[in-house]
Amino acid sequence: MDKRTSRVKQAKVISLLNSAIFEIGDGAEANLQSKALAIQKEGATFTGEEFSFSDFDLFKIELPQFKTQPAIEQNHLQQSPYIDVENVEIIGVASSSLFQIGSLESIESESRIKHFRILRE
Amino acid sequence: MMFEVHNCQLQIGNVKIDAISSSSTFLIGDNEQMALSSIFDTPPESIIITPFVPLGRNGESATHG
Repeated sequence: MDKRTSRVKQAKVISLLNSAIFEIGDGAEANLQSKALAIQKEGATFTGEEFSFSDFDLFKIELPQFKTQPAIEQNHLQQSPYIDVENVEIIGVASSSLFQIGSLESIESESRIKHFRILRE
Repeated sequence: MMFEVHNCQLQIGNVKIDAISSSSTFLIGDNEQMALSSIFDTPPESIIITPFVPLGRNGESATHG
């Protein structure tokens, strides 16, 4: 299947943080993973070791995966070889996310977040 | 079954995004296979109020005078 060319006049990204990707160009495969523990503790001084990922089984559960590649007989006819975008403005790309201008064959991504709040009486 | 796609003209004006976060993807281009999964957990008891005040035994209604 021939891929189209993406043309973007202007792209503005203000911040890229904790292993986010901003790619211009084609790619074959992207594998994104992010694990987060969101803790809100009243009057807290964090030493960083109180909570570890292994304490919670949310980070061990097997997430559903595609077993086999779904085989669908398909035929793509590209009348116009271009994808045109005038202007892209993004404030933030965070926690192993991907912003790509260009084609990408396969993406596998997983994100696991555990929130909790500890309030004083 | 034959799935046929005719891609004629794809022209977008302005795109404004506040944030792309937690393993999300914003792709301007073609793609064949995309598998994005996410799991998050905020159980009610994640609010830990100390000392622990039992809101009600199971079955018993939690209305007090």
